Amino acid sequence: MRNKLFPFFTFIIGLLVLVNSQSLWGDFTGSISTEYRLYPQEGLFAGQSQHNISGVFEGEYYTTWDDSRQILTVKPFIRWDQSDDHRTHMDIRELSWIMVRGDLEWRVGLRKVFWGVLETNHLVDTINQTDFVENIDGEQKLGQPMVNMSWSQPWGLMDIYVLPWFRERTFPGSGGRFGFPFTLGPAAYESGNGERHVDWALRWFHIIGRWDIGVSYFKGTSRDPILTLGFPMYVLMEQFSTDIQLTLDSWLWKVEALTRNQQGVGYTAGGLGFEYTFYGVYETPIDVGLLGEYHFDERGLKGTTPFQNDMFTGARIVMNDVFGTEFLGGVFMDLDTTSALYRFEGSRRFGSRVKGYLNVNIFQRISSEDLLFFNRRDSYLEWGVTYFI
Amino acid sequence: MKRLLTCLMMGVLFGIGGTILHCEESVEKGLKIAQEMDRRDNGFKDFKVDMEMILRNRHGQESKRVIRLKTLEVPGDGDKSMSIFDEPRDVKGTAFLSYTHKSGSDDQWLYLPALRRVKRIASDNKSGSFMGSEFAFEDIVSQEVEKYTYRHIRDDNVGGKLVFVQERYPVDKSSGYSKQIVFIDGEEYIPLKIDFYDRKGDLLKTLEFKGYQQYSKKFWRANEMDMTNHQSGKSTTLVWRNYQFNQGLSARDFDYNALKRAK
Repeated sequence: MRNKLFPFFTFIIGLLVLVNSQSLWGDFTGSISTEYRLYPQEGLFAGQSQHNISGVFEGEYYTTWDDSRQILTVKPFIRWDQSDDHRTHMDIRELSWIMVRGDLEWRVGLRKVFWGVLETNHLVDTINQTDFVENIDGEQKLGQPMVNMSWSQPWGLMDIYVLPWFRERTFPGSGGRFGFPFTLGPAAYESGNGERHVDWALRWFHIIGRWDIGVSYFKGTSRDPILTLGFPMYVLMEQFSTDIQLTLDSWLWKVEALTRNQQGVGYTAGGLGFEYTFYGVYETPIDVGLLGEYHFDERGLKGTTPFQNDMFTGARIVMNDVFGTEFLGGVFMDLDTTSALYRFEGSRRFGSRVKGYLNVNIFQRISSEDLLFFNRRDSYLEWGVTYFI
Repeated sequence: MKRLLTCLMMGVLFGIGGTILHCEESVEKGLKIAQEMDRRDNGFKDFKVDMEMILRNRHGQESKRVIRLKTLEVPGDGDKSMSIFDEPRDVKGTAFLSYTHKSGSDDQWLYLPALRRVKRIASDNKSGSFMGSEFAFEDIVSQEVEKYTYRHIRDDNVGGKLVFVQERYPVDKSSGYSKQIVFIDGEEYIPLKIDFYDRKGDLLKTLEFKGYQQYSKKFWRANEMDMTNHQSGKSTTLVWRNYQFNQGLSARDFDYNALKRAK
C-alpha cells in the first residue's frame, strides 16, 4: 500500500517544480500533531500496548490561476505510530485539479467528497474509503481517484462521479488496538477487475427554502468490507440514498436513508436526528446544543455496522471564547444489546498556531453479539497538540 | 405598528397632548431616515474586502482574526455574502455563506475544509457571538430596513453637524436586543454610533464607526469599527482594508459549489 503511493509523491514533487518554474507560486501550509493515547485496560490480543505515542504531518499546497477558475490542491498526509506498523502510513488526501467553466465544474484527481447530514454516523457518505486506523469514528477518509463533473442549475446541483480505482480500508496491525482475533488475509473482490473496477455515482442536491435535499446513486464496489471470512471481501453493490436537513429556527432535523443491493440481496438502512441549540445560555456567550440521533440497519447484528439499532444522545457546547473552545459528548446505546459507547471530543486553541484536543471513547457492557465485541477493552483517552506551520 | 401603539399608550398614561400626532410623526420619520440610508447605499452591486478582527479581553490581551469577505447585492432581497477565514490557523479555509432576507430567517452555511463538508446552520443564531468576538451574527449581516421598526427621537447638533438620533427595535424575536439607539450623520445618512440594549433593557454594547471613506464616489464605508461591551469589559475592533467595488461578481460566486471551493 505504502509503496504504491511513492510514485504519487514523485509526481507531486515534479508537479510542484513545474508549477513553480512557471512562477505560479501558491500557498503552502501544514500542520504537525503529536498525540498520546492511554488504554486503561490491557488489550484482548497479545502485543497490544496500553500507551501509545503517534505523530501526524499534514501538508497543503494550493494554487489558483485563470482568474481563480482553475485550482490545484495537493494534500499529503503522513502518520507515524509507536506500536502499530499499519497505522504508520501515508496517503495523498488530495491531489486535485478543478476547472470552472460557467455552470460546469470539472474536478479531476484524488479527492474527498462528503455526503450526508448526521453527526454521529455517516451512513450515506459513500465515495471515499474510511481510513479506519486513523479514527474509529469513520470521519477520516482516504483520497479517492475520480473524475467529477458538477453542473449547477436552477433546479439543483447535479454531480456525476467516475471512480476508476478502489482504495482498501486500512486496518490495524498486530500491535494496534481495534484489531481482530485473526490476522486479516489479503483483500478479495467480487469483481474480476479487483480494485480496477470502475465505479460511478450520481448526485442531485438542491436547496429549497429551509430544506437541503440530496439524492444519490452509486454503482460499484462497496467500501464496507465483509470480514467474516477472515479477509476483507469487497462485493459489488448498487445503492440509492437520500439525505435531507430541515433547518427551522434553532432546530435542525435530519434524515439519511439508503437501500442497497449486493450479492442478490437488498436491504435498507437509515438514520434520524435532531439538534436543538440554545444560543447564549444564561446571558453568557455560550451555545449549548442538544443532539439526538437514531441509526438503523435492516441486517441487524449480522450486518457490517455496529449501529444497527442504536440511539445517540449528547450535547455540543461551544464556548464562543477567544480560544474557540468546543466540546461534544454523548453516548451510543444499542437498543438490541447491552452495549454502550461513550464518546467525548474537546478542543481549544493556545495562541494563534497551536490547538490542543482531548478525545475519549469508552466501551461499556459490550455484548458478544455486537461488532464492537473485539473492541470491548479498547476504551481510550487521547490528548494531542497540533502546531500549524 | 406595535411600537406606535406603545408610544400611544405612554401618551394616554401620561396625558401628553398631541401625542398621537407626535408618535405617528416620529415613527414615520424614523422609517424615512432608515429608507433613505438604504436608498443611498443601493446599487453598489458587489464588493470584496479584507477584514482584521482584533479581540481584547478586559485585561487588554489581544487576539486576531483575519477574514476575507465578498458581498453581492440582490435586488429586492437581502445581500448574499461569503466570508473566508485565514487566521487563526486552525480554522484557515473555513468559509461562511449567508443569504440574508428582508423578511423571515436568513440562510447560512458553514464549510469545514478538513471534512470537505458543508453544514447548514441554524438561522436562529442571531444573538450568538461571531468567532468569539463582541459582534453577534445579527451585527455583521446586512442591515435590511425590514429587520427593524423605528422611532426618531431627536435631531442633535454636534459641532455644527446634524445628527439624527433614533431608536430601532428588532422585528425578529430571536434577536439578543430589546432596542438599539442609532446616531446617524444627517448629511450623508451613515451610522456614526450604535448603542445596543440587551433583552432586559440594559445598555450592553456600543459600536463606533470611524474613518469613513467614499468608494465609487457614492458608497461610504468605515475602515474601523469599535465594539465595546460595557457589561463584560471586552471589546472588538474591525479593521477593513482593500475595499473593491464592482468586481463583476454574480450569484454563481455565492452558490454551493463556490462555497466548497472557497479558499
